[in-house]
Amino acid sequence: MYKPIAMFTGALVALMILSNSFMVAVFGNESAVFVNHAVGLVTALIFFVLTGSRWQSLKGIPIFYLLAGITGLATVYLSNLSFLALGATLTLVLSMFGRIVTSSVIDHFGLMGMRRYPFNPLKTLGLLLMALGVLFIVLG
Amino acid sequence: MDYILATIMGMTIVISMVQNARLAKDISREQTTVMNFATGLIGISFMLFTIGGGHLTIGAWQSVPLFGWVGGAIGVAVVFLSTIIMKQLSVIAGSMLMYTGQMLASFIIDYARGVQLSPFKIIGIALVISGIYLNAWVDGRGAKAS
Repeated sequence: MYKPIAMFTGALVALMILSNSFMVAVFGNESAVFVNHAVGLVTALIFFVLTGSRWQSLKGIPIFYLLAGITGLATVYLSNLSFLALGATLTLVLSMFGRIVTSSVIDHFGLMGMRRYPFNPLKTLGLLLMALGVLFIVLG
Repeated sequence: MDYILATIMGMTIVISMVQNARLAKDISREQTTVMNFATGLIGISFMLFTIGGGHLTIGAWQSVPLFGWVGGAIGVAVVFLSTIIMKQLSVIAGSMLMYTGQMLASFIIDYARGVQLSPFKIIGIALVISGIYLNAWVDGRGAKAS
């Protein structure tokens, strides 16, 4: 089942953030991100080789989809800015709002090659539960 | 303005995962993961070069515990797994479930560090998961009806 795998991946994110915090404490933000990506690239390459993968041509792929790494950097950069300016709570609430709205829009229209999950009035309840849950987590 | 930036940050989290998931349709997941870190590394190198902020003194490396070095490797697993998740689940389910997993793990990490447990956080996690399962059920029903 993929739902537990998704939660496990989230748990890995928490571990990654914890690991990075040690690096940030010594080297500062930008350098830590650099080391994180350098280690990640080496690991990804080793994994690529060990799994016997073949390098496929990038021809014809819209450039936008090749730049996920840059979007990821924007996330880290904006996250640091927001924490400094707004604090943890407000940052989390606002970013979750952005997350939920963006996810819902992408799902409803099936944007960026994703499967379509059309909006249904019943789903408002689900969204409310998620939003309420986030508030409990943030304010609890 | 800061409010807008924080909201945008939530957007970029989702968009980066969808970009990778979409890329993994054309090339292998392993290659997608390599691309993610390669472009990110180029980006941060450019930033360090232009904006500065780096102070990677050789001596200081020893003060980083071993665990502090593996963040990038953990990130590889995250990117790889997220391409699978975003294919199998709706974007909102995948994204929010990752969030709940992150919160649960943070919970345990904080507890290990002596931070007080909060029942509200546990209730909150349960609420988020309920919302996800409810909407996934609605999606499933809609698919059967069509």
